[in-house]
Amino acid sequence: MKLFLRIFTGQGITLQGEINLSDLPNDLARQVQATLTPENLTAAAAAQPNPLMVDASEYELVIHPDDPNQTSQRYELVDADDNIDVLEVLDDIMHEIVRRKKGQS
Amino acid sequence: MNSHYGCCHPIQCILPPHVVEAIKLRGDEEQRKMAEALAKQAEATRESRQEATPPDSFLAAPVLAMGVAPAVNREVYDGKRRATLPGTLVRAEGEDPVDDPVVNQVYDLTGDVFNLYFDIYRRNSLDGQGSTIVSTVHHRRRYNNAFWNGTQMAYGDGDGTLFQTFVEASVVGHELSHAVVQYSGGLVYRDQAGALNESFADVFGSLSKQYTLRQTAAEADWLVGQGILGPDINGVALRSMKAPGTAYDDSTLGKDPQPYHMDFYLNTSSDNGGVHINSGIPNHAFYLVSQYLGGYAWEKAGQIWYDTMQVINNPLATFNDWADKTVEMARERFGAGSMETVLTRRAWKLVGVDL
Repeated sequence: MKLFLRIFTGQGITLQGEINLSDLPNDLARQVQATLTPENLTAAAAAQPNPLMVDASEYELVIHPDDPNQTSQRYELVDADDNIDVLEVLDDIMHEIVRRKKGQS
Repeated sequence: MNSHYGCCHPIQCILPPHVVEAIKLRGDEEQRKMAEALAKQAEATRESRQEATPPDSFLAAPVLAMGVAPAVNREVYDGKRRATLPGTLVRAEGEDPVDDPVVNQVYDLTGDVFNLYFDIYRRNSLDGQGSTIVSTVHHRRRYNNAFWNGTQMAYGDGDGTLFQTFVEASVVGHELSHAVVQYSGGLVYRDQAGALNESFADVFGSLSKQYTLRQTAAEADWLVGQGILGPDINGVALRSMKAPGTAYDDSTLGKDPQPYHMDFYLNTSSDNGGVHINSGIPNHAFYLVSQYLGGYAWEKAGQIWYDTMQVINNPLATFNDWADKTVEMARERFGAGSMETVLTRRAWKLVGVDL
Protein backbone atom coordinates (compact mmCIF):
# COMPACT_ATOMS: atom_id res chain seq x y z
CA MET A 1 0.00 0.00 0.00
CA LYS A 2 1.28 3.43 -0.94
CA LEU A 3 0.23 6.64 0.76
CA PHE A 4 0.20 9.99 -0.99
CA LEU A 5 -0.15 12.85 1.46
CA ARG A 6 -0.48 16.58 0.99
CA ILE A 7 -0.72 18.94 3.96
CA PHE A 8 -1.47 22.59 3.65
CA THR A 9 0.07 23.88 6.87
CA GLY A 10 -2.27 26.82 7.38
CA GLN A 11 0.64 29.24 7.07
CA GLY A 12 0.65 29.26 3.30
CA ILE A 13 3.05 26.37 2.85
CA THR A 14 2.11 23.06 1.24
CA LEU A 15 3.96 19.85 2.02
CA GLN A 16 3.51 16.75 -0.07
CA GLY A 17 5.04 13.37 -0.70
CA GLU A 18 4.36 9.66 -0.83
CA ILE A 19 5.61 6.65 1.04
CA ASN A 20 5.05 2.91 1.08
CA LEU A 21 3.50 1.50 4.18
CA SER A 22 6.41 -0.93 4.37
CA ASP A 23 8.87 1.98 4.55
CA LEU A 24 7.32 3.42 7.68
CA PRO A 25 8.78 2.61 11.08
CA ASN A 26 6.99 -0.41 12.58
CA ASP A 27 5.18 1.54 15.30
CA LEU A 28 3.87 4.08 12.85
CA ALA A 29 2.89 1.41 10.31
CA ARG A 30 0.84 -0.31 13.01
CA GLN A 31 -0.78 3.02 13.91
CA VAL A 32 -1.61 3.62 10.26
CA GLN A 33 -3.29 0.26 9.92
CA ALA A 34 -5.22 0.70 13.15
CA THR A 35 -6.26 4.32 12.65
CA LEU A 36 -6.51 5.00 8.93
CA THR A 37 -9.36 2.60 8.28
CA PRO A 38 -11.98 3.55 5.69
CA GLU A 39 -14.54 4.03 8.48
CA ASN A 40 -12.27 6.30 10.52
CA LEU A 41 -11.17 8.29 7.50
CA THR A 42 -14.71 8.78 6.24
CA ALA A 43 -15.79 9.99 9.67
CA ALA A 44 -12.72 12.24 9.99
CA ALA A 45 -13.36 13.74 6.57
CA ALA A 46 -16.93 14.51 7.59
CA ALA A 47 -15.87 16.32 10.76
CA GLN A 48 -17.20 19.86 10.79
CA PRO A 49 -14.53 22.55 11.01
CA ASN A 50 -14.98 25.57 13.23
CA PRO A 51 -16.09 28.26 10.75
CA LEU A 52 -14.38 31.03 12.75
CA MET A 53 -11.02 29.25 12.71
CA VAL A 54 -8.44 30.80 10.40
CA ASP A 55 -5.07 29.39 9.37
CA ALA A 56 -6.44 25.86 9.77
CA SER A 57 -4.46 22.97 8.33
CA GLU A 58 -5.88 21.02 5.40
CA TYR A 59 -5.00 17.43 4.55
CA GLU A 60 -5.36 15.32 1.44
CA LEU A 61 -4.66 11.59 1.64
CA VAL A 62 -4.73 9.14 -1.25
CA ILE A 63 -4.34 5.46 -0.45
CA HIS A 64 -3.15 3.34 -3.37
CA PRO A 65 -3.76 -0.36 -2.65
CA ASP A 66 -1.23 -3.01 -3.68
CA ASP A 67 -3.91 -4.88 -5.58
CA PRO A 68 -4.23 -3.20 -9.01
CA ASN A 69 -7.84 -4.35 -9.19
CA GLN A 70 -8.74 -2.21 -6.22
CA THR A 71 -9.34 1.50 -6.66
CA SER A 72 -7.46 4.23 -4.85
CA GLN A 73 -9.25 6.07 -2.07
CA ARG A 74 -8.96 9.81 -1.61
CA TYR A 75 -9.85 11.78 1.51
CA GLU A 76 -9.83 15.49 2.28
CA LEU A 77 -9.71 16.55 5.91
CA VAL A 78 -9.45 19.81 7.81
CA ASP A 79 -8.58 20.68 11.40
CA ALA A 80 -11.57 19.91 13.58
CA ASP A 81 -12.05 18.95 17.20
CA ASP A 82 -13.19 15.41 16.54
CA ASN A 83 -10.67 14.12 14.00
CA ILE A 84 -7.41 14.87 15.79
CA ASP A 85 -6.44 11.18 16.20
CA VAL A 86 -6.43 10.75 12.45
CA LEU A 87 -4.71 14.08 11.76
CA GLU A 88 -1.91 13.30 14.18
CA VAL A 89 -1.16 10.06 12.37
CA LEU A 90 -1.07 12.01 9.11
CA ASP A 91 1.33 14.51 10.72
CA ASP A 92 3.56 11.61 11.74
CA ILE A 93 3.51 10.20 8.21
CA MET A 94 4.49 13.59 6.79
CA HIS A 95 7.27 13.86 9.35
CA GLU A 96 8.60 10.51 8.11
CA ILE A 97 8.30 11.57 4.46
CA VAL A 98 10.21 14.79 5.18
CA ARG A 99 12.80 12.98 7.26
CA ARG A 100 13.49 10.57 4.43
CA LYS A 101 13.56 13.36 1.85
CA LYS A 102 16.00 15.38 3.87
CA GLY A 103 18.07 12.26 4.56
CA GLN A 104 18.34 11.54 0.86
CA SER A 105 19.31 15.06 -0.12
CA MET B 1 -7.25 59.66 17.18
CA ASN B 2 -10.27 57.74 16.07
CA SER B 3 -12.79 60.00 17.69
CA HIS B 4 -14.71 60.57 14.50
CA TYR B 5 -15.40 56.83 14.29
CA GLY B 6 -15.95 56.24 17.97
CA CYS B 7 -19.68 56.91 17.96
CA CYS B 8 -20.55 54.26 15.43
CA HIS B 9 -17.90 51.67 16.11
CA PRO B 10 -19.94 49.30 18.30
CA ILE B 11 -22.38 48.81 15.45
CA GLN B 12 -19.56 48.10 13.02
CA CYS B 13 -18.31 45.34 15.33
CA ILE B 14 -21.55 43.48 14.66
CA LEU B 15 -22.30 41.85 11.36
CA PRO B 16 -25.35 43.75 10.10
CA PRO B 17 -28.37 41.59 9.32
CA HIS B 18 -28.54 42.87 5.74
CA VAL B 19 -25.01 41.65 5.18
CA VAL B 20 -25.87 38.21 6.49
CA GLU B 21 -28.82 38.16 4.16
CA ALA B 22 -26.60 39.21 1.26
CA ILE B 23 -24.18 36.40 2.01
CA LYS B 24 -27.04 33.93 2.21
CA LEU B 25 -28.12 35.00 -1.24
CA ARG B 26 -24.75 35.41 -2.92
CA GLY B 27 -22.30 33.37 -0.90
CA ASP B 28 -21.37 29.75 -1.25
CA GLU B 29 -21.86 27.20 1.52
CA GLU B 30 -18.65 28.04 3.37
CA GLN B 31 -19.36 31.75 3.21
CA ARG B 32 -22.81 31.15 4.61
CA LYS B 33 -21.37 29.13 7.48
CA MET B 34 -18.88 31.89 8.22
CA ALA B 35 -21.58 34.54 8.11
CA GLU B 36 -23.83 32.56 10.41
CA ALA B 37 -20.98 32.02 12.86
CA LEU B 38 -20.12 35.72 12.82
CA ALA B 39 -23.77 36.60 13.33
CA LYS B 40 -23.99 34.22 16.29
CA GLN B 41 -20.90 35.73 17.79
CA ALA B 42 -22.28 39.22 17.21
CA GLU B 43 -25.45 38.23 19.02
CA ALA B 44 -23.42 36.86 21.93
CA THR B 45 -21.37 40.08 22.02
CA ARG B 46 -24.55 42.14 21.95
CA GLU B 47 -26.00 40.12 24.83
CA SER B 48 -22.83 40.37 26.89
CA ARG B 49 -22.74 44.11 26.34
CA GLN B 50 -26.33 44.41 27.48
CA GLU B 51 -25.55 42.35 30.59
CA ALA B 52 -22.48 44.43 31.35
CA THR B 53 -24.11 47.78 30.68
CA PRO B 54 -26.16 49.40 33.42
CA PRO B 55 -29.64 50.51 32.36
CA ASP B 56 -29.96 54.12 31.24
CA SER B 57 -26.37 54.29 30.06
CA PHE B 58 -25.07 54.11 26.53
CA LEU B 59 -22.98 51.24 25.23
CA ALA B 60 -19.27 51.60 25.81
CA ALA B 61 -17.37 52.38 22.65
CA PRO B 62 -14.59 49.93 21.91
CA VAL B 63 -12.31 52.76 20.88
CA LEU B 64 -11.12 54.36 24.08
CA ALA B 65 -10.64 58.03 24.73
CA MET B 66 -7.13 59.32 25.26
CA GLY B 67 -6.03 59.04 28.86
CA VAL B 68 -7.86 55.83 29.67
CA ALA B 69 -5.44 53.34 31.19
CA PRO B 70 -4.86 50.18 29.15
CA ALA B 71 -5.65 46.91 30.81
CA VAL B 72 -3.94 44.08 29.01
CA ASN B 73 -5.06 40.75 30.37
CA ARG B 74 -3.12 37.73 29.17
CA GLU B 75 -3.45 34.04 29.91
CA VAL B 76 -0.95 31.54 28.57
CA TYR B 77 -1.72 27.84 28.70
CA ASP B 78 0.46 24.79 28.17
CA GLY B 79 -1.16 22.38 25.73
CA LYS B 80 1.39 19.70 26.72
CA ARG B 81 1.52 18.54 23.10
CA ARG B 82 -2.09 17.43 23.20
CA ALA B 83 -4.98 18.73 21.14
CA THR B 84 -7.27 19.82 23.95
CA LEU B 85 -7.69 23.58 24.26
CA PRO B 86 -6.87 25.64 26.17
CA GLY B 87 -4.80 23.22 28.33
CA THR B 88 -3.23 24.08 31.69
CA LEU B 89 -2.92 27.71 32.74
CA VAL B 90 0.77 28.41 33.35
CA ARG B 91 1.03 32.20 33.39
CA ALA B 92 -1.69 34.76 34.00
CA GLU B 93 -1.50 38.53 33.80
CA GLY B 94 1.03 40.08 36.15
CA GLU B 95 2.60 36.78 37.18
CA ASP B 96 6.35 36.26 37.15
CA PRO B 97 8.06 34.53 34.24
CA VAL B 98 8.05 30.73 34.35
CA ASP B 99 10.77 28.23 33.48
CA ASP B 100 9.38 27.58 30.01
CA PRO B 101 10.80 30.27 27.67
CA VAL B 102 8.10 29.66 25.06
CA VAL B 103 5.42 30.62 27.57
CA ASN B 104 7.27 33.82 28.42
CA GLN B 105 7.84 34.68 24.76
CA VAL B 106 4.16 34.37 23.95
CA TYR B 107 3.27 36.40 27.04
CA ASP B 108 5.66 39.20 26.05
CA LEU B 109 4.84 39.19 22.34
CA THR B 110 1.11 39.26 23.09
CA GLY B 111 1.74 42.34 25.21
CA ASP B 112 3.61 43.94 22.31
CA VAL B 113 0.65 43.44 19.99
CA PHE B 114 -1.76 44.81 22.60
CA ASN B 115 0.47 47.89 22.92
CA LEU B 116 0.41 48.60 19.18
CA TYR B 117 -3.36 48.45 19.01
CA PHE B 118 -3.87 50.44 22.19
CA ASP B 119 -1.12 53.05 21.90
CA ILE B 120 -1.67 53.86 18.24
CA TYR B 121 -5.27 52.97 17.44
CA ARG B 122 -6.81 53.28 20.95
CA ARG B 123 -8.17 49.77 20.68
CA ASN B 124 -8.60 48.02 24.02
CA SER B 125 -7.62 44.42 23.25
CA LEU B 126 -8.80 42.18 20.44
CA ASP B 127 -12.50 42.92 20.73
CA GLY B 128 -12.09 46.58 21.68
CA GLN B 129 -13.71 45.75 25.02
CA GLY B 130 -10.67 44.66 27.00
CA SER B 131 -11.10 40.93 26.46
CA THR B 132 -8.61 38.48 27.94
CA ILE B 133 -6.10 37.31 25.37
CA VAL B 134 -5.83 33.53 25.63
CA SER B 135 -2.92 31.63 24.08
CA THR B 136 -1.93 27.98 24.16
CA VAL B 137 1.65 26.92 23.45
CA HIS B 138 2.91 23.38 22.75
CA HIS B 139 -0.30 22.56 20.88
CA ARG B 140 -0.31 18.98 19.48
CA ARG B 141 2.76 16.94 18.62
CA ARG B 142 5.19 18.34 16.06
CA TYR B 143 2.40 20.58 14.88
CA ASN B 144 3.52 22.79 11.98
CA ASN B 145 1.00 25.56 12.47
CA ALA B 146 -0.45 28.33 14.58
CA PHE B 147 -4.03 29.55 14.42
CA TRP B 148 -6.82 31.70 15.81
CA ASN B 149 -9.90 29.56 16.37
CA GLY B 150 -12.44 32.29 17.00
CA THR B 151 -11.77 32.32 20.72
CA GLN B 152 -8.05 31.92 21.33
CA MET B 153 -4.60 31.48 19.77
CA ALA B 154 -2.79 28.14 19.58
CA TYR B 155 0.85 27.62 18.65
CA GLY B 156 2.48 24.36 17.63
CA ASP B 157 6.16 23.72 18.31
CA GLY B 158 6.91 22.74 14.71
CA ASP B 159 8.50 19.46 13.75
CA GLY B 160 12.05 20.76 14.25
CA THR B 161 12.90 20.01 10.62
CA LEU B 162 10.68 22.28 8.55
CA PHE B 163 9.73 24.65 11.34
CA GLN B 164 11.60 25.46 14.54
CA THR B 165 8.84 27.39 16.24
CA PHE B 166 5.73 29.45 15.60
CA VAL B 167 6.29 31.82 18.48
CA GLU B 168 7.75 34.79 16.64
CA ALA B 169 6.76 38.47 16.79
CA SER B 170 5.08 38.80 13.40
CA VAL B 171 3.36 35.39 13.66
CA VAL B 172 1.90 36.25 17.07
CA GLY B 173 0.83 39.64 15.70
CA HIS B 174 -0.65 37.90 12.67
CA GLU B 175 -2.79 35.49 14.68
CA LEU B 176 -4.01 38.17 17.08
CA SER B 177 -4.87 40.43 14.16
CA HIS B 178 -7.17 37.74 12.77
CA ALA B 179 -9.12 38.27 15.98
CA VAL B 180 -9.22 42.01 15.36
CA VAL B 181 -10.64 41.31 11.90
CA GLN B 182 -13.28 39.03 13.38
CA TYR B 183 -14.35 41.60 15.98
CA SER B 184 -14.37 44.40 13.42
CA GLY B 185 -17.15 42.87 11.36
CA GLY B 186 -15.11 40.11 9.74
CA LEU B 187 -13.89 39.22 6.28
CA VAL B 188 -15.14 35.89 4.97
CA TYR B 189 -12.19 33.53 4.85
CA ARG B 190 -12.36 32.73 1.16
CA ASP B 191 -11.16 34.18 -2.15
CA GLN B 192 -10.34 37.92 -2.17
CA ALA B 193 -12.07 38.69 1.14
CA GLY B 194 -10.07 35.87 2.71
CA ALA B 195 -6.85 37.17 1.15
CA LEU B 196 -7.64 40.60 2.64
CA ASN B 197 -8.18 38.92 6.01
CA GLU B 198 -4.77 37.27 5.64
CA SER B 199 -3.16 40.48 4.44
CA PHE B 200 -4.54 42.53 7.34
CA ALA B 201 -3.08 39.92 9.70
CA ASP B 202 0.30 40.09 7.93
CA VAL B 203 0.31 43.90 7.88
CA PHE B 204 -0.42 44.27 11.59
CA GLY B 205 1.80 41.31 12.47
CA SER B 206 4.67 43.12 10.79
CA LEU B 207 3.66 46.46 12.30
CA SER B 208 3.59 45.05 15.82
CA LYS B 209 7.17 43.86 15.34
CA GLN B 210 8.19 47.21 13.84
CA TYR B 211 6.50 49.13 16.67
CA THR B 212 8.23 47.06 19.34
CA LEU B 213 11.61 47.58 17.66
CA ARG B 214 10.78 51.22 16.78
CA GLN B 215 11.81 50.56 13.18
CA THR B 216 11.02 52.90 10.31
CA ALA B 217 9.55 51.53 7.11
CA ALA B 218 13.02 51.70 5.58
CA GLU B 219 14.59 49.75 8.46
CA ALA B 220 11.97 47.00 8.73
CA ASP B 221 12.53 43.55 7.18
CA TRP B 222 8.87 43.26 6.06
CA LEU B 223 9.03 39.51 6.62
CA VAL B 224 6.32 37.41 8.21
CA GLY B 225 7.68 34.52 10.24
CA GLN B 226 11.31 35.52 9.97
CA GLY B 227 13.53 32.78 11.40
CA ILE B 228 10.86 30.14 12.04
CA LEU B 229 11.91 27.84 9.19
CA GLY B 230 14.17 24.90 10.02
CA PRO B 231 17.94 25.26 9.76
CA ASP B 232 18.17 23.19 6.58
CA ILE B 233 15.38 25.00 4.76
CA ASN B 234 16.40 27.39 2.01
CA GLY B 235 14.35 30.40 3.02
CA VAL B 236 14.12 33.33 5.39
CA ALA B 237 10.45 33.47 6.35
CA LEU B 238 6.90 32.45 5.45
CA ARG B 239 6.21 35.55 3.39
CA SER B 240 7.84 38.76 2.24
CA MET B 241 5.73 41.90 1.93
CA LYS B 242 8.61 43.72 0.29
CA ALA B 243 9.13 41.05 -2.36
CA PRO B 244 6.24 38.57 -2.40
CA GLY B 245 7.31 35.24 -3.88
CA THR B 246 10.87 35.33 -2.55
CA ALA B 247 10.58 34.18 1.07
CA TYR B 248 11.72 30.62 0.38
CA ASP B 249 12.72 28.30 -2.45
CA ASP B 250 13.34 24.85 -1.08
CA SER B 251 13.34 21.27 -2.31
CA THR B 252 10.83 20.25 0.35
CA LEU B 253 8.69 23.38 0.70
CA GLY B 254 8.76 24.36 -2.95
CA LYS B 255 8.90 27.98 -3.98
CA ASP B 256 7.05 30.84 -2.29
CA PRO B 257 3.93 31.18 -4.51
CA GLN B 258 2.88 34.72 -3.58
CA PRO B 259 2.19 37.19 -6.41
CA TYR B 260 2.89 40.91 -6.07
CA HIS B 261 0.61 42.03 -8.93
CA MET B 262 -2.90 41.23 -10.17
CA ASP B 263 -1.42 39.92 -13.42
CA PHE B 264 -0.23 36.93 -11.40
CA TYR B 265 -3.37 36.49 -9.28
CA LEU B 266 -3.86 32.78 -8.71
CA ASN B 267 -7.31 31.30 -9.22
CA THR B 268 -7.34 28.15 -7.13
CA SER B 269 -9.76 26.14 -5.04
CA SER B 270 -7.17 25.13 -2.47
CA ASP B 271 -6.22 27.26 0.53
CA ASN B 272 -9.78 28.65 0.63
CA GLY B 273 -9.24 30.16 -2.78
CA GLY B 274 -5.59 31.06 -2.28
CA VAL B 275 -6.00 33.29 0.76
CA HIS B 276 -2.35 32.86 1.79
CA ILE B 277 -1.18 33.25 -1.78
CA ASN B 278 -3.04 36.23 -3.22
CA SER B 279 -2.57 38.17 0.01
CA GLY B 280 0.81 39.02 -1.49
CA ILE B 281 -0.91 41.65 -3.64
CA PRO B 282 -2.47 43.80 -0.86
CA ASN B 283 0.61 43.08 1.28
CA HIS B 284 2.80 44.64 -1.36
CA ALA B 285 0.44 47.60 -1.76
CA PHE B 286 0.77 48.29 1.96
CA TYR B 287 4.55 47.98 1.75
CA LEU B 288 4.64 50.48 -1.13
CA VAL B 289 2.44 53.03 0.70
CA SER B 290 4.69 52.70 3.74
CA GLN B 291 7.83 53.23 1.71
CA TYR B 292 6.37 56.22 -0.13
CA LEU B 293 5.25 57.90 3.08
CA GLY B 294 8.43 57.06 5.01
CA GLY B 295 8.83 57.23 8.77
CA TYR B 296 7.02 54.76 10.97
CA ALA B 297 4.59 52.65 8.96
CA TRP B 298 2.14 52.30 11.83
CA GLU B 299 1.54 56.05 11.94
CA LYS B 300 0.02 56.78 8.54
CA ALA B 301 -0.21 53.66 6.37
CA GLY B 302 -1.19 51.56 9.39
CA GLN B 303 -3.78 54.12 10.43
CA ILE B 304 -5.33 54.11 6.94
CA TRP B 305 -5.51 50.29 6.91
CA TYR B 306 -6.88 50.15 10.46
CA ASP B 307 -9.53 52.77 9.67
CA THR B 308 -10.48 50.78 6.58
CA MET B 309 -11.03 47.62 8.61
CA GLN B 310 -13.26 49.52 11.02
CA VAL B 311 -15.56 51.03 8.41
CA ILE B 312 -15.59 48.75 5.39
CA ASN B 313 -18.54 46.77 6.74
CA ASN B 314 -18.38 44.26 3.91
CA PRO B 315 -17.39 40.67 4.79
CA LEU B 316 -17.21 39.82 1.08
CA ALA B 317 -14.95 42.76 0.16
CA THR B 318 -12.84 42.42 -2.97
CA PHE B 319 -9.40 43.93 -3.47
CA ASN B 320 -11.10 46.80 -5.32
CA ASP B 321 -13.54 47.40 -2.49
CA TRP B 322 -10.72 47.47 0.03
CA ALA B 323 -8.49 49.67 -2.12
CA ASP B 324 -11.34 52.14 -2.69
CA LYS B 325 -11.93 52.35 1.04
CA THR B 326 -8.23 52.89 1.86
CA VAL B 327 -8.19 55.88 -0.50
CA GLU B 328 -11.39 57.18 1.07
CA MET B 329 -9.90 56.79 4.55
CA ALA B 330 -6.69 58.53 3.49
CA ARG B 331 -8.78 61.38 2.09
CA GLU B 332 -10.88 61.68 5.26
CA ARG B 333 -7.90 61.66 7.59
CA PHE B 334 -5.29 63.53 5.56
CA GLY B 335 -7.21 65.48 2.91
CA ALA B 336 -8.22 64.98 -0.71
CA GLY B 337 -5.03 66.29 -2.28
CA SER B 338 -2.69 64.99 0.40
CA MET B 339 0.36 62.90 -0.39
CA GLU B 340 -1.16 60.13 1.71
CA THR B 341 -4.21 59.98 -0.55
CA VAL B 342 -2.29 60.29 -3.79
CA LEU B 343 0.32 57.71 -2.83
CA THR B 344 -2.21 55.22 -1.52
CA ARG B 345 -3.97 55.35 -4.87
CA ARG B 346 -0.63 55.02 -6.66
CA ALA B 347 0.38 51.95 -4.65
CA TRP B 348 -2.81 50.14 -5.61
CA LYS B 349 -2.26 51.01 -9.24
CA LEU B 350 1.24 49.60 -9.11
CA VAL B 351 -0.02 46.23 -7.90
CA GLY B 352 -2.64 46.18 -10.62
CA VAL B 353 -5.72 47.13 -8.60
CA ASP B 354 -7.25 49.92 -10.63
CA LEU B 355 -9.54 52.35 -8.84
